[in-house]
Amino acid sequence: MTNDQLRSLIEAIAAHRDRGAFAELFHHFAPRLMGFGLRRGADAATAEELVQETMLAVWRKAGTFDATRATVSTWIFTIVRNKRIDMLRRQTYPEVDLEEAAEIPSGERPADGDLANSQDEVALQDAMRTLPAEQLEVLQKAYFEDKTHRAIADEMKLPLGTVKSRIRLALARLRLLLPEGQV
Amino acid sequence: MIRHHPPLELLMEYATGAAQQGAALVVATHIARCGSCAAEVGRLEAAGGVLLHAAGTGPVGDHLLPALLERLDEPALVPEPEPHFDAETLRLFPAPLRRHLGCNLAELDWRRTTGFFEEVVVGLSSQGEKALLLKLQPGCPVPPHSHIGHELILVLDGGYSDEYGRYNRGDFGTLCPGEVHNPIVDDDNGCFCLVVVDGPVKLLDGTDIISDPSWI
Repeated sequence: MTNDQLRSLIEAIAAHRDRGAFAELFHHFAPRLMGFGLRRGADAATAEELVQETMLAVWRKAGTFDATRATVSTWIFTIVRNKRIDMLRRQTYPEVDLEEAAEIPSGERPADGDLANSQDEVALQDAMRTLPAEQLEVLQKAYFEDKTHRAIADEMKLPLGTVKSRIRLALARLRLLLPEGQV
Repeated sequence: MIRHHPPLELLMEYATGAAQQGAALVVATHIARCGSCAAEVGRLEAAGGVLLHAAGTGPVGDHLLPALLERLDEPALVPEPEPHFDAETLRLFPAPLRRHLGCNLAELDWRRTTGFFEEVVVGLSSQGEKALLLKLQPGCPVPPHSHIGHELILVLDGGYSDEYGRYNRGDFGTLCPGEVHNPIVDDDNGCFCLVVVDGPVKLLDGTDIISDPSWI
Protein backbone atom coordinates (compact mmCIF):
# COMPACT_ATOMS: atom_id res chain seq x y z
CA MET A 1 0.00 0.00 0.00
CA THR A 2 1.25 3.52 -0.72
CA ASN A 3 1.56 6.22 1.89
CA ASP A 4 -1.46 8.04 0.40
CA GLN A 5 -3.60 4.90 0.77
CA LEU A 6 -2.41 4.36 4.34
CA ARG A 7 -3.03 8.00 5.13
CA SER A 8 -6.65 7.82 3.95
CA LEU A 9 -7.18 4.84 6.28
CA ILE A 10 -5.85 6.83 9.24
CA GLU A 11 -8.04 9.78 8.25
CA ALA A 12 -11.12 7.51 8.05
CA ILE A 13 -10.39 6.26 11.57
CA ALA A 14 -9.91 9.80 12.87
CA ALA A 15 -13.00 11.21 11.15
CA HIS A 16 -15.58 8.47 11.77
CA ARG A 17 -14.05 5.66 13.79
CA ASP A 18 -14.05 3.46 10.68
CA ARG A 19 -13.52 -0.16 11.81
CA GLY A 20 -13.17 -1.38 8.22
CA ALA A 21 -10.28 1.04 7.68
CA PHE A 22 -8.76 -0.15 10.95
CA ALA A 23 -8.97 -3.79 9.82
CA GLU A 24 -7.22 -2.90 6.54
CA LEU A 25 -4.50 -1.08 8.41
CA PHE A 26 -4.17 -4.09 10.72
CA HIS A 27 -3.73 -6.50 7.79
CA HIS A 28 -0.99 -4.29 6.42
CA PHE A 29 0.95 -3.58 9.62
CA ALA A 30 0.29 -6.46 12.04
CA PRO A 31 2.64 -8.96 10.29
CA ARG A 32 5.37 -6.31 10.12
CA LEU A 33 4.92 -5.31 13.75
CA MET A 34 4.94 -8.98 14.72
CA GLY A 35 8.22 -9.44 12.82
CA PHE A 36 9.58 -6.35 14.55
CA GLY A 37 8.70 -7.69 18.02
CA LEU A 38 10.10 -11.16 17.34
CA ARG A 39 13.30 -9.73 15.95
CA ARG A 40 13.88 -7.87 19.22
CA GLY A 41 13.85 -11.23 20.99
CA ALA A 42 10.33 -11.07 22.43
CA ASP A 43 8.46 -14.39 22.75
CA ALA A 44 5.34 -14.85 20.60
CA ALA A 45 2.93 -13.81 23.38
CA THR A 46 4.88 -10.61 24.12
CA ALA A 47 5.18 -9.81 20.42
CA GLU A 48 1.39 -10.22 20.07
CA GLU A 49 0.85 -7.90 23.00
CA LEU A 50 3.16 -5.38 21.34
CA VAL A 51 1.09 -5.60 18.12
CA GLN A 52 -2.14 -5.12 20.10
CA GLU A 53 -0.88 -2.18 22.14
CA THR A 54 0.57 -0.48 19.05
CA MET A 55 -2.58 -0.90 16.95
CA LEU A 56 -4.75 0.23 19.87
CA ALA A 57 -2.64 3.39 20.13
CA VAL A 58 -3.05 3.93 16.36
CA TRP A 59 -6.84 3.72 16.83
CA ARG A 60 -6.83 6.13 19.77
CA LYS A 61 -4.31 8.63 18.43
CA ALA A 62 -5.42 8.68 14.78
CA GLY A 63 -6.71 12.23 15.28
CA THR A 64 -3.24 13.47 16.24
CA PHE A 65 -1.53 12.07 13.12
CA ASP A 66 -0.08 14.98 11.16
CA ALA A 67 0.66 14.07 7.55
CA THR A 68 2.81 17.18 7.11
CA ARG A 69 5.30 15.92 9.70
CA ALA A 70 5.61 12.18 9.12
CA THR A 71 4.49 9.39 6.86
CA VAL A 72 2.18 6.72 8.27
CA SER A 73 5.01 4.16 8.48
CA THR A 74 7.24 6.61 10.32
CA TRP A 75 4.46 7.51 12.74
CA ILE A 76 3.73 3.84 13.47
CA PHE A 77 7.46 3.14 13.84
CA THR A 78 7.69 5.77 16.62
CA ILE A 79 4.62 4.30 18.36
CA VAL A 80 5.97 0.72 18.31
CA ARG A 81 9.41 1.95 19.39
CA ASN A 82 7.93 3.64 22.46
CA LYS A 83 5.59 0.74 23.27
CA ARG A 84 8.48 -1.70 23.05
CA ILE A 85 10.47 0.37 25.55
CA ASP A 86 7.41 0.58 27.85
CA MET A 87 6.89 -3.18 27.71
CA LEU A 88 10.38 -4.64 27.61
CA ARG A 89 12.27 -2.08 29.69
CA ARG A 90 9.47 -0.67 31.83
CA GLN A 91 10.56 2.84 30.96
CA THR A 92 8.58 5.76 29.62
CA TYR A 93 10.39 7.14 26.59
CA PRO A 94 10.79 10.93 26.71
CA GLU A 95 9.00 12.24 23.64
CA VAL A 96 8.73 15.58 21.92
CA ASP A 97 5.10 16.24 21.01
CA LEU A 98 4.08 18.01 17.87
CA GLU A 99 2.55 21.03 19.55
CA GLU A 100 5.80 21.55 21.43
CA ALA A 101 7.58 22.46 18.22
CA ALA A 102 6.00 25.86 18.87
CA GLU A 103 8.59 26.33 21.62
CA ILE A 104 11.45 26.25 19.15
CA PRO A 105 12.69 29.85 18.77
CA SER A 106 12.22 31.07 15.20
CA GLY A 107 15.99 31.38 14.69
CA GLU A 108 16.44 27.66 15.43
CA ARG A 109 13.89 26.33 12.96
CA PRO A 110 15.34 24.34 10.08
CA ALA A 111 15.12 25.75 6.58
CA ASP A 112 13.80 22.51 5.10
CA GLY A 113 10.85 20.60 6.54
CA ASP A 114 10.85 17.09 7.87
CA LEU A 115 11.06 14.26 5.47
CA ALA A 116 7.37 13.69 5.20
CA ASN A 117 5.83 13.47 1.78
CA SER A 118 5.25 10.29 -0.12
CA GLN A 119 7.74 11.10 -2.92
CA ASP A 120 10.48 11.40 -0.31
CA GLU A 121 9.43 8.10 1.20
CA VAL A 122 9.49 6.32 -2.17
CA ALA A 123 12.95 7.77 -2.84
CA LEU A 124 14.09 6.56 0.58
CA GLN A 125 12.66 3.09 -0.07
CA ASP A 126 14.53 2.95 -3.40
CA ALA A 127 17.77 4.14 -1.81
CA MET A 128 17.39 1.58 0.97
CA ARG A 129 17.33 -1.19 -1.66
CA THR A 130 20.69 -0.07 -3.05
CA LEU A 131 22.53 -0.20 0.28
CA PRO A 132 25.41 -2.66 0.48
CA ALA A 133 24.41 -5.68 2.60
CA GLU A 134 26.89 -4.85 5.36
CA GLN A 135 25.44 -1.35 5.76
CA LEU A 136 21.83 -2.59 5.74
CA GLU A 137 22.70 -5.18 8.37
CA VAL A 138 23.97 -2.62 10.90
CA LEU A 139 20.99 -0.33 10.23
CA GLN A 140 18.56 -3.19 10.83
CA LYS A 141 20.29 -4.09 14.07
CA ALA A 142 20.09 -0.47 15.20
CA TYR A 143 16.40 -0.02 14.33
CA PHE A 144 14.89 -3.45 14.91
CA GLU A 145 16.92 -4.55 17.90
CA ASP A 146 17.36 -1.07 19.45
CA LYS A 147 21.06 -1.71 19.87
CA THR A 148 23.62 0.99 20.57
CA HIS A 149 26.58 1.30 18.22
CA ARG A 150 28.72 -0.25 20.97
CA ALA A 151 26.36 -3.23 21.37
CA ILE A 152 26.34 -3.83 17.60
CA ALA A 153 30.15 -3.71 17.52
CA ASP A 154 30.41 -6.20 20.39
CA GLU A 155 27.89 -8.59 18.85
CA MET A 156 29.41 -8.49 15.36
CA LYS A 157 32.98 -8.54 16.73
CA LEU A 158 33.79 -5.41 14.76
CA PRO A 159 35.72 -2.36 15.90
CA LEU A 160 33.37 0.43 17.08
CA GLY A 161 34.80 2.72 14.39
CA THR A 162 33.76 0.27 11.67
CA VAL A 163 30.17 0.20 12.91
CA LYS A 164 30.07 3.99 13.15
CA SER A 165 31.43 4.43 9.64
CA ARG A 166 29.01 1.86 8.14
CA ILE A 167 26.09 3.68 9.75
CA ARG A 168 27.39 7.05 8.63
CA LEU A 169 27.91 5.81 5.05
CA ALA A 170 24.42 4.31 5.01
CA LEU A 171 22.82 7.52 6.32
CA ALA A 172 24.76 9.60 3.79
CA ARG A 173 23.66 7.34 0.98
CA LEU A 174 20.05 7.61 2.15
CA ARG A 175 20.51 11.42 2.24
CA LEU A 176 19.47 11.49 5.89
CA LEU A 177 22.32 13.62 7.16
CA LEU A 178 22.27 17.36 7.60
CA PRO A 179 23.96 18.91 4.57
CA GLU A 180 26.90 20.18 6.61
CA GLY A 181 26.95 17.08 8.82
CA GLN A 182 27.36 17.14 12.56
CA VAL A 183 30.26 16.26 14.77
CA MET B 1 21.78 30.59 18.36
CA ILE B 2 22.50 27.01 19.37
CA ARG B 3 26.06 26.06 18.40
CA HIS B 4 26.65 22.75 20.15
CA HIS B 5 24.49 19.75 19.28
CA PRO B 6 24.34 16.10 20.34
CA PRO B 7 26.60 13.84 18.27
CA LEU B 8 24.88 12.04 15.39
CA GLU B 9 25.37 8.70 17.18
CA LEU B 10 23.25 9.93 20.10
CA LEU B 11 20.49 11.34 17.85
CA MET B 12 20.46 7.97 16.10
CA GLU B 13 20.21 6.08 19.40
CA TYR B 14 17.32 8.34 20.38
CA ALA B 15 15.54 7.70 17.05
CA THR B 16 16.02 3.92 17.18
CA GLY B 17 15.03 3.64 20.84
CA ALA B 18 18.46 2.38 21.94
CA ALA B 19 19.03 5.36 24.25
CA GLN B 20 18.43 4.78 27.95
CA GLN B 21 15.85 6.97 29.65
CA GLY B 22 18.27 9.61 30.97
CA ALA B 23 20.09 10.03 27.66
CA ALA B 24 16.73 10.09 25.84
CA LEU B 25 15.46 12.76 28.27
CA VAL B 26 18.38 15.10 27.67
CA VAL B 27 18.20 14.60 23.88
CA ALA B 28 14.40 15.14 23.81
CA THR B 29 14.81 18.27 25.94
CA HIS B 30 17.44 19.63 23.52
CA ILE B 31 15.38 18.93 20.40
CA ALA B 32 12.37 20.67 21.95
CA ARG B 33 14.44 23.86 21.48
CA CYS B 34 16.50 22.94 18.41
CA GLY B 35 14.80 22.75 15.02
CA SER B 36 17.78 21.32 13.17
CA CYS B 37 18.14 18.36 15.56
CA ALA B 38 14.34 17.89 15.58
CA ALA B 39 14.45 17.64 11.78
CA GLU B 40 17.45 15.28 11.88
CA VAL B 41 15.65 12.99 14.34
CA GLY B 42 12.58 13.17 12.06
CA ARG B 43 14.70 11.98 9.12
CA LEU B 44 16.25 9.19 11.20
CA GLU B 45 12.77 8.10 12.31
CA ALA B 46 11.72 8.09 8.65
CA ALA B 47 14.44 5.49 8.04
CA GLY B 48 12.78 3.44 10.80
CA GLY B 49 9.45 3.81 8.99
CA VAL B 50 10.93 2.58 5.70
CA LEU B 51 12.70 -0.33 7.41
CA LEU B 52 9.45 -1.29 9.18
CA HIS B 53 7.58 -1.14 5.89
CA ALA B 54 10.12 -3.37 4.18
CA ALA B 55 10.62 -5.58 7.23
CA GLY B 56 10.32 -9.29 7.47
CA THR B 57 6.90 -10.31 8.73
CA GLY B 58 5.89 -12.53 11.62
CA PRO B 59 2.93 -14.93 11.85
CA VAL B 60 -0.29 -13.23 12.97
CA GLY B 61 -2.83 -15.60 14.55
CA ASP B 62 -6.44 -15.45 13.32
CA HIS B 63 -7.64 -14.57 16.81
CA LEU B 64 -5.68 -11.31 16.98
CA LEU B 65 -7.87 -9.00 14.89
CA PRO B 66 -11.19 -10.05 16.53
CA ALA B 67 -9.56 -9.67 19.96
CA LEU B 68 -8.36 -6.21 19.02
CA LEU B 69 -11.71 -5.13 17.56
CA GLU B 70 -13.31 -6.08 20.90
CA ARG B 71 -10.88 -3.80 22.69
CA LEU B 72 -11.42 -0.72 20.52
CA ASP B 73 -14.23 0.57 22.73
CA GLU B 74 -12.29 0.04 25.96
CA PRO B 75 -11.82 3.36 27.68
CA ALA B 76 -8.21 4.50 27.35
CA LEU B 77 -6.30 5.08 30.55
CA VAL B 78 -6.63 8.76 31.21
CA PRO B 79 -3.16 10.16 31.86
CA GLU B 80 -2.80 12.20 35.01
CA PRO B 81 -3.44 15.82 34.20
CA GLU B 82 -0.29 17.92 34.04
CA PRO B 83 0.14 20.32 36.93
CA HIS B 84 -0.24 24.01 36.19
CA PHE B 85 3.26 25.12 35.24
CA ASP B 86 4.20 28.65 36.21
CA ALA B 87 5.94 31.09 33.87
CA GLU B 88 9.44 30.50 35.28
CA THR B 89 9.06 26.73 34.92
CA LEU B 90 7.83 27.14 31.33
CA ARG B 91 10.77 29.44 30.56
CA LEU B 92 13.41 27.10 31.94
CA PHE B 93 12.09 23.58 31.37
CA PRO B 94 11.14 22.50 27.83
CA ALA B 95 8.13 20.18 27.66
CA PRO B 96 9.89 16.76 27.82
CA LEU B 97 11.73 17.83 30.99
CA ARG B 98 8.81 19.43 32.81
CA ARG B 99 6.59 16.46 31.93
CA HIS B 100 9.24 14.13 33.35
CA LEU B 101 9.65 16.20 36.54
CA GLY B 102 5.89 16.74 36.94
CA CYS B 103 6.34 19.79 39.18
CA ASN B 104 7.26 23.44 39.17
CA LEU B 105 10.77 24.77 39.60
CA ALA B 106 9.91 26.19 43.04
CA GLU B 107 8.89 22.75 44.34
CA LEU B 108 12.29 21.16 43.67
CA ASP B 109 14.39 20.27 46.66
CA TRP B 110 17.78 21.86 45.98
CA ARG B 111 20.75 20.53 47.91
CA ARG B 112 24.29 21.76 48.13
CA THR B 113 26.41 18.67 48.56
CA THR B 114 29.82 19.29 47.08
CA GLY B 115 30.35 23.01 47.48
CA PHE B 116 30.47 23.76 43.76
CA PHE B 117 26.80 23.79 42.88
CA GLU B 118 23.28 23.08 44.06
CA GLU B 119 21.73 19.91 42.72
CA VAL B 120 18.45 18.04 42.39
CA VAL B 121 18.49 14.37 41.46
CA VAL B 122 16.05 13.62 38.62
CA GLY B 123 14.39 10.23 39.08
CA LEU B 124 14.97 7.67 36.31
CA SER B 125 13.65 4.15 35.86
CA SER B 126 16.74 3.08 33.90
CA GLN B 127 19.83 1.47 35.43
CA GLY B 128 23.42 2.70 35.25
CA GLU B 129 22.77 6.39 34.66
CA LYS B 130 22.08 9.37 36.82
CA ALA B 131 20.38 12.63 35.90
CA LEU B 132 20.78 15.89 37.83
CA LEU B 133 19.65 19.44 37.57
CA LEU B 134 22.55 21.72 38.52
CA LYS B 135 22.47 25.40 39.46
CA LEU B 136 25.81 27.20 39.46
CA GLN B 137 26.38 30.78 40.54
CA PRO B 138 28.00 33.36 38.23
CA GLY B 139 31.78 33.23 38.39
CA CYS B 140 31.75 29.75 39.84
CA PRO B 141 34.71 27.70 38.68
CA VAL B 142 34.25 23.95 38.83
CA PRO B 143 37.66 22.33 39.37
CA PRO B 144 39.04 20.22 36.54
CA HIS B 145 37.35 16.84 36.56
CA SER B 146 37.46 13.71 34.47
CA HIS B 147 34.73 11.38 33.33
CA ILE B 148 34.84 7.64 33.71
CA GLY B 149 31.68 7.36 31.65
CA HIS B 150 29.93 9.85 29.41
CA GLU B 151 28.58 13.18 30.57
CA LEU B 152 25.80 14.89 28.62
CA ILE B 153 25.14 18.51 29.54
CA LEU B 154 22.22 20.60 28.33
CA VAL B 155 22.28 24.29 29.25
CA LEU B 156 18.76 25.30 30.26
CA ASP B 157 19.68 28.90 31.03
CA GLY B 158 22.78 31.05 31.46
CA GLY B 159 26.01 29.45 30.29
CA TYR B 160 29.57 28.30 30.84
CA SER B 161 32.84 27.97 28.98
CA ASP B 162 35.36 25.19 28.98
CA GLU B 163 38.22 23.90 26.84
CA TYR B 164 35.70 22.88 24.16
CA GLY B 165 33.94 26.23 23.74
CA ARG B 166 31.23 28.49 25.04
CA TYR B 167 27.89 26.90 25.94
CA ASN B 168 24.73 29.02 26.09
CA ARG B 169 21.03 28.30 26.57
CA GLY B 170 20.08 25.26 24.46
CA ASP B 171 23.66 24.12 23.82
CA PHE B 172 24.53 20.48 24.31
CA GLY B 173 27.92 19.40 25.67
CA THR B 174 29.23 15.84 25.39
CA LEU B 175 32.17 14.54 27.41
CA CYS B 176 33.48 11.08 26.60
CA PRO B 177 35.21 8.66 28.98
CA GLY B 178 38.66 9.94 29.91
CA GLU B 179 38.03 13.53 28.88
CA VAL B 180 38.84 16.23 31.42
CA HIS B 181 37.25 19.66 31.44
CA ASN B 182 37.44 22.76 33.57
CA PRO B 183 34.18 24.68 33.17
CA ILE B 184 33.82 28.29 34.30
CA VAL B 185 30.43 29.90 34.74
CA ASP B 186 31.07 33.15 32.91
CA ASP B 187 27.45 34.19 32.38
CA ASP B 188 25.93 36.90 34.59
CA ASN B 189 22.88 34.70 35.13
CA GLY B 190 24.92 31.75 36.32
CA CYS B 191 24.29 28.38 34.72
CA PHE B 192 21.30 26.13 35.01
CA CYS B 193 21.75 22.76 33.36
CA LEU B 194 20.52 19.20 33.03
CA VAL B 195 23.34 16.67 33.30
CA VAL B 196 23.24 12.93 32.64
CA VAL B 197 26.20 10.70 33.51
CA ASP B 198 26.68 6.97 33.08
CA GLY B 199 29.77 6.68 35.24
CA PRO B 200 31.44 8.51 38.12
CA VAL B 201 32.82 12.01 37.66
CA LYS B 202 36.04 12.57 39.59
CA LEU B 203 38.10 15.54 40.61
CA LEU B 204 41.75 15.09 39.71
CA ASP B 205 42.52 14.01 43.31
CA GLY B 206 40.01 11.17 42.91
CA THR B 207 37.08 12.52 44.96
CA ASP B 208 33.62 12.24 43.49
CA ILE B 209 32.14 15.51 42.31
CA ILE B 210 28.58 14.17 42.15
CA SER B 211 27.23 12.96 45.44
CA ASP B 212 26.32 9.34 46.14
CA PRO B 213 28.29 7.46 43.50
CA SER B 214 26.86 4.17 44.82
CA TRP B 215 24.34 4.02 41.95
CA ILE B 216 26.90 2.85 39.43
